[in-house]
Amino acid sequence: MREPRRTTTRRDLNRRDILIASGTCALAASLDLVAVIAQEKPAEIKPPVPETWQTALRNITGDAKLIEGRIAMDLPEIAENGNVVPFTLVVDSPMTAQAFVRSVRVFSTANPQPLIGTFRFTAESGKAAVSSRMRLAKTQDVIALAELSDGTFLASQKNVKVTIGGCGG
Amino acid sequence: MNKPRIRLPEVVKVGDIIEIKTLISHVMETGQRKDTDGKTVPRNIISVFQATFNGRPVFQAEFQPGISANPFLSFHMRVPGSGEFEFTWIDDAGVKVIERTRLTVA
Repeated sequence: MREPRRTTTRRDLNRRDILIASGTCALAASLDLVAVIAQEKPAEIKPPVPETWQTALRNITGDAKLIEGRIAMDLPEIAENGNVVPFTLVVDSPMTAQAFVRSVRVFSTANPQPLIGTFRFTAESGKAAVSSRMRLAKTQDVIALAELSDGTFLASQKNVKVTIGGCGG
Repeated sequence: MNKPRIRLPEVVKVGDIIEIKTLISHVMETGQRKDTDGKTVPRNIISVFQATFNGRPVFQAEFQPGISANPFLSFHMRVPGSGEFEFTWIDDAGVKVIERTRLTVA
């Protein structure tokens, strides 16, 4: 039962990679994923350890299957200033004590550090929505990952074209 | 970090889901930037933000260097009644800013 599920997850990730990057990137991603499944690392690492967004994502989700959609991502299609890119994430959830969104994470696919932020909710939040502003080094896909109270993971992505990159330099 | 700015709706009823907006000034130094001598500027970002209402956690954010300078946040709460918000920001240098705001229901 486990084996076909894992294959599906890997194929989905590869397909996404091919869409956003070159074939070499896709190969690297599938190799990374094998390594991540084998080892468990702590979720949040303080120093900027070079890691791929695929690794960062899998450090959170483990082997779990990602359900696409159900996260509304409000991001500009074209960001003129990569230093300040506003974003709003809203997860479709009743937000009751029985079923709520535990957290939403934002990942960059082309910044020096993939994880941008973690936003944690409780049933008292009433609405699983967060707005803030992020730095984007260049044109890339931004990924939102939501963890539900039953352990399910949702993921959405959106491409943002960046005119002037952020992250200093 | 300067005195943070908090915005809450003016009229609130029990059971409303309200939007809370916070803004604080902070350089959010990424730790990736180099100064004019070519030395890396050490990282100093607000790493944790917490919001509680009458002592109960409502929302928490853990920032990484990818969050812009002067971090802005907007989040929500279902109003259980009157009470006090406590907002806490902590940066890498250990500086902690705590702001308390009263919420009174109509």
